[in-house]
Parts: sequence; structure tokens; C-alpha cells
Amino acid sequence: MSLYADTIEVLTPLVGRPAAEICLRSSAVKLGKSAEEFGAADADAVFAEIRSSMSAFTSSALLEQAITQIKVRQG
Amino acid sequence: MRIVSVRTWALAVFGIVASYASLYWVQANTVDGITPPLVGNLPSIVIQGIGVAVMVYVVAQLGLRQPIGRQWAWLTAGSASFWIGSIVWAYYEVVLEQPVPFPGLPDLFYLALYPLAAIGLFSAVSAFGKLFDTRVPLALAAAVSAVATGAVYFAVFRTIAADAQLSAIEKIISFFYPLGDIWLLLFPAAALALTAGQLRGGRLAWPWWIVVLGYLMVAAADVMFTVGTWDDTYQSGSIIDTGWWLGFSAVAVAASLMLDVQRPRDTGEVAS
Repeated sequence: MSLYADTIEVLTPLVGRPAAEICLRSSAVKLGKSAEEFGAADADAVFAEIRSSMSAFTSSALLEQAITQIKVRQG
Repeated sequence: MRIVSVRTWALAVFGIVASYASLYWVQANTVDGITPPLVGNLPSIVIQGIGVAVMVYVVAQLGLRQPIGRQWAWLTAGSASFWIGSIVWAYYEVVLEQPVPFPGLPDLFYLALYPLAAIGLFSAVSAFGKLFDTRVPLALAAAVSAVATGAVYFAVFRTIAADAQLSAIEKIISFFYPLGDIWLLLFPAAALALTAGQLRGGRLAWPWWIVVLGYLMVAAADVMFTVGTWDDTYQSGSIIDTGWWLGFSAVAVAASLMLDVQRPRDTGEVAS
């Protein structure tokens, strides 16, 4: 699946779909492309945005596990 | 995949059963409206104490290096302060065998709950600031708090303010409890509920709902306590205390649940 779909699927049970979407849209704005167009090269930017926007209300262990899950799904 | 731990379920069951069993026990030992001081005070010390112990454990697990750990450290400090207030209150009644002065030393610890919990709650609200606009939840919560202040003014304050037998300091302390509840507990708690509500079904929001429920019960008990101390009908171990037992138990359950939902789980797809 795409980075967009995997990220939504992993983050939604934790923070809900709206928060996952907001996080991806923020990354898209910074990268100057639409979230649906994200490829493997954009992964690090998306992960940085996840860490930046969610670390204040999420434990680092849970956040890193979520990121690892997305990486594994991306192969 | 089980998210809620046995510890959290056990604590929730304990909080509810112990609160109602204690109320029954106190009433069964009350003769002609008089409750033995030890019977009236023991449930508060035990029930709140177990809640504080669980919260300390949760903070130790989360760690103070993480924002989420620091948020819960403030909430834990608030619950611990209230618990110490209950111990001091019991010391007056059980050991010194004298009426608890009002205002007195217990009030110092009870009132400390408000700023400590408020810091934790406002920190939690601001933690969502990078994802959501928190200004609307804060404005809505302020509006609700203003309405609540008006309701408490007409229901309680006007009568107490008109009581010529109360000193100025007694009136100020009497007002501070409900005002502290509304502006330092309910206001940030409501803002947090509205902010965390934007997580929709996300499990990281679950504990915050229970925190709000817990502080609502604490606030209700505080308002009844203000009336009870004013008209001299309050007695340790009464139904007013049940609001504190259940409320602080709920906050402790929320802490335990926070640890549950923040723990990484084996999903079977993480590379080893």
C-alpha cells in the first residue's frame, strides 16, 4: 500500500483518522505535494512530522513502534 | 488484543465497590447521627491512598522526561495533596479528638489540588496544540465555566455571603472551593475533553474522558462540602465523601489506562 494509506491505517487506532490526516496534510504542505502522492523518499519527512506533532501526548516508545510498523508495511 | 490491563479493571472495580461498601459501613456504624471518627475517616485514607499509589507507579513508568509523564506527575501531585489533606483531617478527628478547624491545615492541602491539577490539565490541552486548534475548546469551556459560576453563585454563594456569622476568611475559603473546582478543574478538564474529542475513536483519548468524569465527581462533592461546612451538616464518611472516593478513583483508573494505551503492543508485524 501507499505511504499515505499505511500511515492512516497505523495511526488511526491510536489518534483517530482526523489527527492522522492532519499530520499527513502538514507533511504534504511542507513537501509541496499532495499526501496521496507520497513515495518512499518522503517517508523520513512524514515520520519527522509524526514525531513533532504527536510526541507531546504520546510516549516515545509507542510513537517509535508506530513508525516502525509503517516502515515494515512499506517494506 | 487486550488493551485494558487487569490492573486497570481491578482498580476500577475496587474504586466502585470500596466506595459503596465504605458508605454502607459508615452508615451502619452511625448511631444518632454520630459516626466514630476512625470509621468516618478510614475509607478516604485507604481509597484515595491506593489511587495515589497507582498514579505514582504510572508516572514512574512513563518517566518525567516525556511530556505525557510530566502531565501525569502534576495530576498525581494534586491527588497526593488532597490525600495528605484527608490524613491531616483524620489526625484532628481521630488522634487529637477535636473539631477540624475551618479554615485550617487540611484546607491548605485540599486547595493545593487545584493549581497542581490545573497545570497538568492545561499541559495536556496544549500537548494537542500542534495538531488541533485549542482556542475553540478553551473558549467553549470558559463559556460553560462562566455559566456554572453563575449557577453556583445563585445556589450557594449568595446565601453564604449573607451569613453574618461567618468571618471574611471563612467566606473566602468557602467560595474558593467551588470557584477552584470550576475554573481550575472543570474549565481545563472541559477544554481537554473537547480537544481530545477530536481524536475521535483514537485510544489515546480514552483516559482523558475518565479524568474529566473523575473531576466532575470531585467538583460535585466540593460544592456539597461547601454547603455542608456552612450549615454544619458535613460529617466525615457521609455521601459527600463518596464523590471524592469515586472521583479520585476515576482519576487513578485514568492514569492506569493511560499506561495501558501508551504501551507498545505486539502487533505481529514489527520486525525483530
